[in-house]
Amino acid sequence: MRSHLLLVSFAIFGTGFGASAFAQEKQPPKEKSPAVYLRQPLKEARLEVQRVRLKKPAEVIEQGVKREVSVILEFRVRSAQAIPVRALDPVLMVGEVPLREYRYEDRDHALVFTLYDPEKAKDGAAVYLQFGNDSASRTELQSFRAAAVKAN
Amino acid sequence: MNRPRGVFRRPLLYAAALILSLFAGAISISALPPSDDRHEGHFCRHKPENVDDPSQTGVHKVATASYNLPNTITVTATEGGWTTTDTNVHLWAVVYYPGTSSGANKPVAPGKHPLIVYLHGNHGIWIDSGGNHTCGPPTGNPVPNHEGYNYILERLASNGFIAVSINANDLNCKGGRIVARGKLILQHLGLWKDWNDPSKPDPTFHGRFHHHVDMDRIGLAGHSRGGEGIVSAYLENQSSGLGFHIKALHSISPVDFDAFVLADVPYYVLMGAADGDVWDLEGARIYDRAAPRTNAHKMPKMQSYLYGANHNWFNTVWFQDEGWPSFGPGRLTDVQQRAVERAMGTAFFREYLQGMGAERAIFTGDASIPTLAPARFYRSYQDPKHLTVDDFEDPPPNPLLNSLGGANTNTSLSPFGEFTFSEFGGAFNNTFFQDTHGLIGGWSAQGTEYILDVPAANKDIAAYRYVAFRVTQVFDGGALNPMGQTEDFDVGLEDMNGYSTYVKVSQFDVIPFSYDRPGGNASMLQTIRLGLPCFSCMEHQGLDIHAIAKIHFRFNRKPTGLVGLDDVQFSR
Repeated sequence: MRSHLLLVSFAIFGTGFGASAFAQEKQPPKEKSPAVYLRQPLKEARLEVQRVRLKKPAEVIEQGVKREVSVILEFRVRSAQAIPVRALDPVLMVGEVPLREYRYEDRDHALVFTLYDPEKAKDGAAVYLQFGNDSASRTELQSFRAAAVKAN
Repeated sequence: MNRPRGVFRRPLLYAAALILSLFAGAISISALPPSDDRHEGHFCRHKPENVDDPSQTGVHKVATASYNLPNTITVTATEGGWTTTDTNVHLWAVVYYPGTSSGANKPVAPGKHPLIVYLHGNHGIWIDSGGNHTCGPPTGNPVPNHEGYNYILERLASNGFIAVSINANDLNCKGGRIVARGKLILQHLGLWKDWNDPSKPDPTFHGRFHHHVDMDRIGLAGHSRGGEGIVSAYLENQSSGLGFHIKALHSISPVDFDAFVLADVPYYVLMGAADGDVWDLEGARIYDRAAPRTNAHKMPKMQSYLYGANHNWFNTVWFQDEGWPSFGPGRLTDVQQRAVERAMGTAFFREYLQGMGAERAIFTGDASIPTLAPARFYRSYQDPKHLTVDDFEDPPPNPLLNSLGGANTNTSLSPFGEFTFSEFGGAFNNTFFQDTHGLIGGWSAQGTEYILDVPAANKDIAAYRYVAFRVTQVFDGGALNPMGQTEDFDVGLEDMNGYSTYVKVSQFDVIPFSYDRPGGNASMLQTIRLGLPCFSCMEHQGLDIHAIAKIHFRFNRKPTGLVGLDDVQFSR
């Protein structure tokens, strides 16, 4: 039988007299937790775009339709800071096209987004990076220039 | 409303009980003097009996184990139209369980124990030389993301659960992977099914868990992306007919990428108001969609909106404060916010996996946990047994017609109308993060009232215990809701004889100012439950709860105000 039974309190915020729930943390907290503010644009961010011919065609399944892709565009967003790894997904908007498939590189100083349909990137399209619906995190990048695309 | 006469005696009795408890080291409901009925005087709440304090350690010795199987799996999942395939996904987890003694790899305590599986969210997966958690390159030193919930696993094990936290590093640092997370959970459940079965080979635990895992009582809990991953696991278990008996779901600060709808499983979501990652409090949307009209009576759902809590600190491994430096007032420490999860998570699973029957009171507001002070959380709760008078969901929007078909009457509310409560545009939506429709009502004049007619077919509400509704202050820059102040109004019941009685909401609960944080305040609907005895006991005995005709919202307690209102119900 447990010795501690709950005080049924009809006050919304009661003052406790029992064993503190906080004293039970066995893993002591660090003296001062480092802080990071996520809801802001990336520092010194820039965009590089590369056309990549895959050594082995990639299989892409979209809306249940399977196809093979051998040429893709990779949009690499580099930043002077480590790009946060958040619950909310980073999305790169190239004009009206959202890119959601990504990988981190360079100890998180780069995020690489994959566009499996290179023709969808329109010359002059505005490009920005944002985490989910968090518009405070939006990082405006230079517009997409087809002529500036590098080849691998 | 005048105070019933018994009230004036009761503070002395409470004080006496408290003093006694200091000597006894314990207090129970039964230690309090008997009341006139099973409700508690002018507070009119249903009186729970013998609610164990979930913030305290349970009776079992806690043993631990872990597994990281040599064989990896491939997870293929379709989400948002895209199919992803992840190879070399590890089956790696830590386990806390009731043991015959404390320590690593001890025998399991006699009996069958419900199984609870926790799942973390997206985070770095490698620890670099500077101690940073990154997505790569691999360092050989993985981030033990799954070990960040040991504090609650231990508590659950002491309460008789086999509590597992699984690692999903192989699904981190990638887009989405909510459905993939659900599939990973189901893979682990398959392992536990086998480890419970003596007929299956068990090179991992060599039979330690044979007949000790209660596979008929499974609970899932997840944090962040894991908080939605458990919802995906539950739904896939149903749709694919996998047959796991998942009986309770608990999300902590979840994302809501896939807009899943839960219809038939107890669901509890805990969210921090100072969340600097899932800043739009997406768990509120999962709560709002759960128990939809077509399946409104198959599940309870509950929500705690914890002021001052951030996103990361529910996991001890995620040590960075993403809410810092000023993401809202009244910030809790990491220890304080984990104490809330430890207590509330334990209470939830004790209620819905062990059938305690009384822990529910913690979620309805009938009981509180004093040892969690100064943590302040505001709750939503919907009981499966309820009658909806108006949920403001009927198309086309008409605030003068309720869901029962009765007329609603507006006297002087302005603004006044039904609106979508959502972060995605529209009037009044600059502070809402919900997924529902509700009523917006503002007042600045005496005599402002909103009255909902209860049709004669629904007049007998004796089967219910509460008038319940959801309400929140709408942030309007101080125009109608004074900055930083609580709101208040009266709620009344009127019977078919024209007899009416009113109670003041602030006698029972607080309608707080919307949580103030940089970049936008956050309004959150909370449930207010007013016990029917409030309206009928003592000098109000004239009210006939077998013949209720109207519910009144009378906005006379503060000179001005602007509130969102939803889900007006009679409820158990």
